Amino acid sequence: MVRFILVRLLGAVVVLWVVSVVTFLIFQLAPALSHTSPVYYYIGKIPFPQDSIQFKALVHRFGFDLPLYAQYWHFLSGILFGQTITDGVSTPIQCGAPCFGYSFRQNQLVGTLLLQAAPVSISLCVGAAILWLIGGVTVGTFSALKPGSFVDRVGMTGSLAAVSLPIFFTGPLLLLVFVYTLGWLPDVSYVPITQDPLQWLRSMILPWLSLAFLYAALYARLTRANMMETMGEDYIRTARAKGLPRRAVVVRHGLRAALTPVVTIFGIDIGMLIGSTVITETVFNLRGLGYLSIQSIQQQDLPVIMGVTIVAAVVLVLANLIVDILYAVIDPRVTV
Amino acid sequence: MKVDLPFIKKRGRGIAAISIMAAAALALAACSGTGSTASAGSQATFNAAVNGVVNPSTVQGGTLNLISSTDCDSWDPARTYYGWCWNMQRLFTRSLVGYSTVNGTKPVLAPDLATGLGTHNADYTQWTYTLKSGVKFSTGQAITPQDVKYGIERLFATDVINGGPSSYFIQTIQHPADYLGPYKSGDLSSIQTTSNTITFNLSTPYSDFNYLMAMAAAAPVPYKTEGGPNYTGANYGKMPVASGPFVIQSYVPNQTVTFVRNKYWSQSTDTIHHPLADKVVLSIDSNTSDIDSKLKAGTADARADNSIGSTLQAAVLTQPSLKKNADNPTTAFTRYFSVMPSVIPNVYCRQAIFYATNKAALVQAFGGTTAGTPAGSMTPPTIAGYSATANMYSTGAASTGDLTAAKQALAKCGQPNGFSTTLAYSTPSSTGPQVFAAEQAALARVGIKVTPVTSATSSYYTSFIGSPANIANQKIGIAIAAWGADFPTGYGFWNSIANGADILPSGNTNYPSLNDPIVNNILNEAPAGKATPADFTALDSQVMKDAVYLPILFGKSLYYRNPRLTNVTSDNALAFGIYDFVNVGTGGK
Amino acid sequence: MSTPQTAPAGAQAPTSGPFLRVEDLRVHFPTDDGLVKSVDGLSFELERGEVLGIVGESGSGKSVTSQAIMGLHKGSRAKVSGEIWLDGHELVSASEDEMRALRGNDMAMIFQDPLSSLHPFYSVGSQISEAYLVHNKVTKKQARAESIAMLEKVGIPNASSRYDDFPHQFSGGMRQRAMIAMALICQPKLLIADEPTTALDVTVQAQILELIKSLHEELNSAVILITHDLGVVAETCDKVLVMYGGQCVEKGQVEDLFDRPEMPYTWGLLGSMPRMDRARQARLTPIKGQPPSLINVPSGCVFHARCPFVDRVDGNRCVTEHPALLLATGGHEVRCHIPSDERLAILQDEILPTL
Repeated sequence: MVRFILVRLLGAVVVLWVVSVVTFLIFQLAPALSHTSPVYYYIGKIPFPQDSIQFKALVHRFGFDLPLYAQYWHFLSGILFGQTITDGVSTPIQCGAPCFGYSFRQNQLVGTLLLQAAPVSISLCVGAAILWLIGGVTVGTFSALKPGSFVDRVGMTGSLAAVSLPIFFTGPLLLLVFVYTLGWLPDVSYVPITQDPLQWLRSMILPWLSLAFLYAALYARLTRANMMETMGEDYIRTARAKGLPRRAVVVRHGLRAALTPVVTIFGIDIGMLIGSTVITETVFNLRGLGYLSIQSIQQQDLPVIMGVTIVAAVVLVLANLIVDILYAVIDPRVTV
Repeated sequence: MKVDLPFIKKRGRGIAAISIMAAAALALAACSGTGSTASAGSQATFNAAVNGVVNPSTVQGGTLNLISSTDCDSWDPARTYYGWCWNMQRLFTRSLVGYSTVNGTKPVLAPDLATGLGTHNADYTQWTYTLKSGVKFSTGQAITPQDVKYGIERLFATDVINGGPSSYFIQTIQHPADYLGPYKSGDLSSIQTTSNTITFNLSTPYSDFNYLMAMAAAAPVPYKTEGGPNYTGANYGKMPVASGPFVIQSYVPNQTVTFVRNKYWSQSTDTIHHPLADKVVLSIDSNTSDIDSKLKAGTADARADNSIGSTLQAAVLTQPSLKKNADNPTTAFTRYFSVMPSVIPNVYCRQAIFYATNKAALVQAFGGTTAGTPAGSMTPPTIAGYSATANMYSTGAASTGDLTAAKQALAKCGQPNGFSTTLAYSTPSSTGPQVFAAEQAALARVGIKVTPVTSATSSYYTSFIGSPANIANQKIGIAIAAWGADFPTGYGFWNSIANGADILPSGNTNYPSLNDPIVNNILNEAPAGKATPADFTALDSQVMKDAVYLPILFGKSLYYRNPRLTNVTSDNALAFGIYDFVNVGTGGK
Repeated sequence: MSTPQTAPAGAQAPTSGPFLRVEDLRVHFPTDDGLVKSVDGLSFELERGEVLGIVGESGSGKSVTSQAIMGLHKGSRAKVSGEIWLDGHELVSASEDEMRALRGNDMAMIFQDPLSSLHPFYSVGSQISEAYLVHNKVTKKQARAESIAMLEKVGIPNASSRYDDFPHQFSGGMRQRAMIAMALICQPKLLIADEPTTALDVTVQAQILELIKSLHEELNSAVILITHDLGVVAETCDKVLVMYGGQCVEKGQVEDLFDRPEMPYTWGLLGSMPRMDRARQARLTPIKGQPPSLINVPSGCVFHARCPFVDRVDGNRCVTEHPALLLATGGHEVRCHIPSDERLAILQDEILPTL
């Protein structure tokens, strides 16, 4: 098992290295392809022509006059070992590893911006994931146990509807009903859990629901399909023939097997989710990683875009790694 | 000068030349009081702060609670380029020159740190100011001409002090070609100081130089020491030294900025700022509906950065008790269509577009009557050359279009049945698609067919409509744009968008590439002080004749003031009509 | 209706009837294409200590019958009617809870494919313990000890260390031994083995059968051995029941039925079986035609479409009239319209020489 984890870790490191190269190349080279300088993507539009001394001073300051490999090493070594952000004049800023650089647009370390946004995204994703996993698996299981029954029809029709309803519809609808009409929940943005757990809960309920709604529907269908297949397996018949109570048959023998593929997809979904909750974050005015990425793209704030990209990649790769390891734990047939 | 667009922050569209554009604030509602002449002091009524002062008072003390949806781009006076941040700079920075009147449509310049407006030589290439005595920084040090010079020299260190309106100074003040500011290149000899005077030698005549000196970017910065060991260079904005009546006591980025009174500031040296509050707290709250509810509840006194949000707008416009505390000033920028002669060469065909345009519908598309009033000509009310009656291509009393005139123009153009062209807008945009639809419907009435072309917001102004070659390649006939001057003069408004000498291959701000000798002549003469207001009236008229700038509306914003506030007036010189907070009182509480 | 008499495990039920009596069992599955009559009117009896072989082709209803006895159709859409009496309990009408108490405890089953019948995610030992724990109030530790003992008994070497192995780590024969251990852990009075050797190597088959046989003798349980292999039946069983098209076409004592098979289908089965004790023939004689549809069960005799002796019966009765299961000369029951002596004559003259 240790060897298995080490091998996978090594693979993850290689993937992340490739991601860092690709990210670097895309964001450094894309501006060049459109005949603009990456300088613009660091500090915005500059009212100086590209051949002016002012412009060249900026190019030099950000190191864009260095060879590409040196720029890449600067970028990578910052992430690995940290770096000192300095323009040769101002008090240098120490940026510890992993250092994603400095946002000159927002006058903050990218790491600081990421750290500010991460708790929001984590709150949103983890809460929603718990909701949809419980909700989706429950509905899917009950549907699968009695295919064609009332429960099944309601569950599957409901999930079809939920899959068809986008978050930019359900989100505002929930807001309209629970905040503006019924007034049951406050119209507040994110409150850190460390500051006020109750307010945190109240502020997150609707985002969780609207995000979980969509995924719960997908998971209900997925669970139902897997569960129906599993319940037809020979070993389920064996379990029944042993005289096991129905609960044990369904949960211990059925769900255990049916949820294995769900776990895989769940891990990847979580990994993808963390950087892709833009719509939910926008609707509910949450300043998470999704919002940060959109904001930085709109502002063309390159260091932040690269930081978010790398973080999203790390999360995805880690999620995959955890899924791999989890899979080996869940399914003894996977040789490790 | 820049203002936040709701939801989408926009910075520095003018890559190249002097001047920069303005984006607007969205709003809805009734008529503005553009023409009204309010008395010097008045009770709270709708639009009372537009031209007048609401609740005049001399009661000192109290805390002014401001709120905004974002932090400033920087608190370094040299680096900020948002209109509302220039207004906030008025709290704690002073320059040689300032605005003694900021409301209404006629901002007035007055000496601030200087004893008088600058004296200049005959061709406007040398400007001299004398500093008042007894003016001090918040550190207690006296402000010297050397500090003023140092502040301006910093603007040349563009690799460290990026952002801000530095290009005005770099293009105007004499300097060696490789001068990169005091950090790397040391002293700038073209700026000479004595113990109490400072003289600027310019590389080009510049009759508007007082307006540059009125920018926060021209504020003095303590020579070499700046804000102390940890606050120099790029870090100065984290704790800038004050020269004005307030000083930043604490600053938590993206959360709060607290200003207290600068004990080294003396009213006796200052005729522009008349502070009343003891403390000003700016809270940053990204939730605009939260801001609205705080404004309504009175827990925030005013919004510092933008029009009020849609929730409060709706309430303000329907409830008289709230509406009397609101203002809807017409501000110093124009929304327009750039009609490209490179794609639609025949002037009559362009005129047909002018006549057929339904400005009333476009105003609705931009957010309704609180977002603007139909514009008959390009020059906005705050700029010399403005005329309320100028409307060369009248589109009727209701501004819905003159189809007869449009058809006549089409006939003259030789396209009696209309033609096909494209309309460009940026995406994502909250208004672009609606504006396109409104114009498409309007032009379809005379047979002109319009299809959309779009580009990402980030590159729209620089490489999409900012590139004459791209306009020709993509056959962009019409493009949505907006413009506001960084300082309220005819030259400041027109030079970047109409001077044929400043057309650039990319980052161009003269989108239709207008190159009219009559226009060029006036703009070339203006910096030498040879242009009169009448010349700018003529310029406006000539530009309209060329039929390349189709004015749509003069922007308006909707603001809300806490009824408890005293001495409230609108700052239309720097901040699109946002309240002039430095002079606002809270009745001592 | 059933009369639930819950006797303590292992105690002799105070009934006068046979230990297992199946009476007119019908298992029908409603489908979109129609009603599938998988088992249609099956009756048989079985005493403790006896081994009953049920033989027939795939789809003849053997497995469905065994699952009906186990009550595994409960909760599905299958319609089960008739009576199944086990040790004084009527099972068709019993509730799922009552059945659950009996399953694994009073009756147990060994399935055809031990790999798919074992849960891949749990260790072999824990799956056996689970069966023990559900019917016995013991600690997990005791259950483990019991399971290891059982694994040893079925011939798993190093049982205590193999206990924690997963099914995929066992060989095919080992897995089937583990399945047998699981079935016998509660010492059931009825053991149903559903083609227990089909998926195994020939060499292992004999060992497994031997194991089942010896354990059955030890426990004195009744065994139903489902197979399509008549050789296995001859080796192992006391009684045999031949099924075709969901019906019993011939049943009786093994010696009797093998000495004097009377139903043409049974002849066919025997003819398609390789024999080692005779000289090799050019080829085996397969039964011509396809098994009957269970939705549109043929009129008359279910076997008539494939029966080579239909012309031996007058008046087309094989097609029009469903033959009854009648006692034949040799003492066993046969479902055929051909008169008994004529059947014996055909057997003697036409069938035996070809086998």
